[in-house]
Order: sequence, then structure tokens, then C-alpha cells
Amino acid sequence: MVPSTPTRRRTLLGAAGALATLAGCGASDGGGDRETPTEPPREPFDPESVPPHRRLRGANDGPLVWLSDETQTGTNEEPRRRRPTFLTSRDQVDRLRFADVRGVEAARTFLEETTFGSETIFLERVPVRRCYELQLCDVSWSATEVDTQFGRVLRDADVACEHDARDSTAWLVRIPEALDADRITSYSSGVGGSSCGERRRPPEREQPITADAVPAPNATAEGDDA
Amino acid sequence: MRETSGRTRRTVLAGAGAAVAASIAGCSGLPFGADEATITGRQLSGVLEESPPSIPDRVPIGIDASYLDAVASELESALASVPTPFDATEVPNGAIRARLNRQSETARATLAGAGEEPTRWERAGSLRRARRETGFVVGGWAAIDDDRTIADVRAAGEAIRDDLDSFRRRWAYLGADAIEAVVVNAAIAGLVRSCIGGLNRVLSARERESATALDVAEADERLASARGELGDAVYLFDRLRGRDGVRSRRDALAAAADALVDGVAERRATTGLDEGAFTAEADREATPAERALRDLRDDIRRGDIGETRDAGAFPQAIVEAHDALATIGAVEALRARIDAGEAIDPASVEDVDTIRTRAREALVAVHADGAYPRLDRLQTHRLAAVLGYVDDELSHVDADDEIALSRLNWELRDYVRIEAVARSVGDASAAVARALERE
Repeated sequence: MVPSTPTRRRTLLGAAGALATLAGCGASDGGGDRETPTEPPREPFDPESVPPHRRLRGANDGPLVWLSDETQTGTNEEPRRRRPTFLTSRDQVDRLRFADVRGVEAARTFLEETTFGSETIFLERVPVRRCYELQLCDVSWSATEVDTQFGRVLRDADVACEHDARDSTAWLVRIPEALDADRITSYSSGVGGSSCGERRRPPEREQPITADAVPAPNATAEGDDA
Repeated sequence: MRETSGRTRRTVLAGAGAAVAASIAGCSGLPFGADEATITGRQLSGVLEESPPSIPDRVPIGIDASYLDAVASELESALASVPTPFDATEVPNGAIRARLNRQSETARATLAGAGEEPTRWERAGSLRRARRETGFVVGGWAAIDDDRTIADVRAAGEAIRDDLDSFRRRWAYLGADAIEAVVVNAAIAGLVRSCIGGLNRVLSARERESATALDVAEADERLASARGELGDAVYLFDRLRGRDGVRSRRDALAAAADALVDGVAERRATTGLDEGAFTAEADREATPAERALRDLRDDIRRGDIGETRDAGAFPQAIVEAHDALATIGAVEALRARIDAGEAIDPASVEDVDTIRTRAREALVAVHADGAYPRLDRLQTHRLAAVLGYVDDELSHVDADDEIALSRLNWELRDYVRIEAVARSVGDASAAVARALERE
């Protein structure tokens, strides 16, 4: 029985491995998508606080992963929906279509390793400015709701990108419960302006200099005799 | 393990944003009742016809133009040392490039504008800002071009910390007279305080794996700011030392601070300012005078001059006392006006004009006739700045737009407050001067 209270799973085996693998998930160099190299999340936040996931990134406006029946015509396989998708069966995985971006094979393997019946894949699309990288900071869910929180970090100065350009990202998140997609009526997502590590770090309160803005107690007080 | 998550953040934020947008739109967009008094943008222009007085900030000791010229020259050289505007070859990341280029333009504009400031003290302030902005650009480029790191910035911060310690050991409350000692040392203290705040940020900056050139740039920005503040503090102190008749005024300032702490406490008690709760919500029906009174009363109850005095920060304590006395005087005057039924409840364009004219004239009068101009200016330059700001806000109403007078509640409150404080500045300065003469 899945409770309806949103939860966050802290002990998720394999999450660290998922983050490490993420390094290879990038955009394609063909099919109309320009090469967009990506990096792994660089902030040492607790990786076990998020479920295993894979991310695809492409330099286009369209979705990168979609179900074949999410189409406008049913034949051209042009995706029409942007709302999150829940994959609860192998049959749905078989109907998945991928844009020609780098990392698709890793994503397929990830899906193959998913145990439907006890796990659910949450598929979410999030646009991102090309000069930035997203990090998945937090996932919470209940029987009826799902929430994802992302952090955003600047990519390195030597990553070539235009300030206003946008990429698409698709996130495949493996939720370790068999959710009933029909019962999920609410989902929310947020992208913060800082990394996951900074989002979680308490404000820095260190005060190396504790002196007040006054003369030092042992001041020589030049001019005393002036 | 399960825990509740704040999952509706997006919804909450969206709601808040909509409320703020509606509030702003309300300045000119909300309908008003048929019987509600209104004013047009054209009529507001008439109200604002006479410019606010120019009362720039200054310190009452000469600042050499040559000192400021040297600072400007140093900053120009620093800016010239970076190949701005950066192109995609130099800084491939467009977001970082845009930020550095924008800040470089800002620094150049600030530097160019510094020469236009009405006083050398204000020019010094603009140059400190230009130094901060320049530090950002130079630091960011050094991170890209020369692998400068947060650790490098921190090391530079340690050097400034040593300079700060050295300065604090020789700093004393000097002055050719006690008022000079108060005003100039309070200015020095303000710089030192900012320097300490900036250095603390620099010295506590941590290395992060995700640090980019912009993180280094921001750390260098704070470092440059601290350097400029300390440099100006040292300069002001050295100017003080060179004044004719200069000597330590520490004892006089300490005694005056003691007397003023007691004096302010007494005035607060006799005015009944320590009683009652803080005002939580605005009364929609309140007149501008009632709103101003409420805000002043809340303001005076914040802060602790005794604590400032106890820290040995006598100039700051005296400046705070001056502010408190001017505020208490304004509270008393406004209360008397309201009790006498003389507070204007604006119902016409003429009422708006009267409220604004009174504010302007009160400020002009104290600026022209005050017996203690060096003390008066502690308040008057700020009041003039607020008057200019409110005027500017109102000047943005299009000539043909018509708005309800009730939409001007905040602006009219500020005008009333300016008038009330300006009228009590003279007495506050006299009280401070008396305390300083007790030596």
C-alpha cells in the first residue's frame, strides 16, 4: 500500500552509481541536434537522497523521449504532450521513442534494468539554458503526487554556448514503488538558481573578523598629544 | 524512512508573483470610485515643479582631488588590462561572457560618472563602487586566463586583514573639534564596518567543485570593495591627523555618548514611545500624517544606542542619537498636529501640493539656516535623497493618466515624514552639540 503522503527516499541503493553514469548522458552529434557536451553534477550533495536516474540532453526545443501514441497524427511520431509521463510496464517501454541524442543506449539499458511491478519510471522534460547544467536535487512522491526539484549550475567558462540558447533535457527517474499512474493527479517541479549542494547548505555564519568598527583597544592613538 | 516535503512551492510562488504584479498594476491600473478624489499626471507635474534642494553628502574635511584622481587612474589601468568586451574565443561560455561584459560596461560608466558627483566625498563613493565592479571583471578574467582561484582571493584578503588590523591600532577619535571628530570618525567607522563585512565573506569563502569564473569574480568583487573602503578610511584618518588644532576627542565623545544615550531614553519615556505593540498592519483609512507617525514610532523603537556606545563606537552612537532625537521630535510634532485636527486628509490636488511643498520648504529651511550644518547634514542629505526619489516615482505617471489620491498613500506619507523630521533636525543638532560641549 502506497501512502498518500509525499515522501523522499533517503536510502536508495545505486543512486551514486546513477550519478556517476550520468556523465555520459549528452546530446547527439547528428540528426539535427548540435553536439552539447555535458558534465556530471559537480556539487557533493548526498547522492543517495535522489532515486537512480538518467538524463538526456539535446540542443533543440522538442522532447527527447516520448511514448509513440503521444503524437499529433499517430503516424509522424511528433510528440504533442509535455506533461510528465509514468512508465509502469515493459509494454510502455517498448513504445518509447527517443530523439537522436547521445546517451540513448545508456537510457535504454537503464530502462531494461528497471523492475516494473516494484518500480516506476517517471519521465520529465525540463528546458535549460545552454550555458547551464541541471542537477536533480530532490524527488518526493505519494500515491497521488510527484514533485521534483532541480538545481542549476553554470557550466565552465570554456564550454561554448550562447547565453540565450536553450536545450531540452529529459529525465528518467526510477521511483522504487509501483505507482498507479491513473491515481497520480498532481505533479510539480522547481528549478532553483543554485546547485543542489548550495540549496542544502545552511547560510555561512563564519565570522573570521569579530572586531567592531572601532579603534583597537590597544590603539596607540596617534595624535593624542597633538 | 519518509518525510514530508515542501511540494507546493511552485504554486505558492506563482501566487505570490501574481499578488505582487497586481499590486504594482494597481498604482495606475485599478479602477476608482466615482466619488473618489483623483489627480492626473499633468497635475502631479505641477506639484513637482519646484525641484528638491540639492544636499549632497560630504565630510567636513577637505579631500584632495589628487587622491581621487589617483584612484580613478588606477581603476582605469585595471580596466584597460582586460580585453573587454570579451568575445566567444576569449570566453566561450556565453552566460559568463555576458555577465563579465555587462559588469565591465557598468564599471566604465561608474568610473566616468564619478567625475560628475557634486562633492568629493560622493565621488569617493562612486569610485569605491567602480573599484568593486572593476574587481569583478578583473578577477573573473584572471580566473579564466590565469587560473585564479577562490584560495588566491582569500590569500589576498588575509593581506587586507593585516592592513585593517594595522589601521585599527593607530586609529583614534581625532578632530579639530568634537563635531568634526563625530562626523568624520563616524564616516571612517562606516567604511571600516563595510570592510570587515566584505572581508568576512572573502575569508570564509569555501572552495566548491562547481566554482566557476563568476564565483571567483564575485569573491574578487568583495575583496576590491574591502580594499577601497579601507583605503578611504585610512585616507580620511590621515586627513584628520593633518588638521590644525587636531587632538583626541575620545573623552568628549564618550561623555557625549553617555549623555545622549540617557537623553534619548528619557525622551522616549516621556513621549511614551516604549509602550504598546509594533504596528502590524496599515490602516486603510489612515491619513498620511498618521501613517508617518506610526512608521516613525516603530523606527525609533528599533536599534539600541546603548549597545553601540558600550562597544566603544562613540561617533556612531552619537550619530544614532542625533537620528533618534530628530525622529522623536518628528513624532511629537506629528502627534500634536493630529491631536489638533490639523493633519491633512488629502481630498484635492491642492492638498497634495501643500503636503509636498511643506516637505520641500522644511528641508530648504533647515539646510539654509541650521546652526550646526555639519550635524544637520547627517539627516538632511538623506531626506533630500528621499524627496528626490519620491518625486521621481510620481513623475512617472503619464500626463493624461488619472489616479485616485488613495493610491498615493505611501508617497504622501513620505512627504509628511520628510517635513516632520526636517523641522526637528535643528533641535536634534543643538542637543548633540550641547552634549559635545560638556567636556
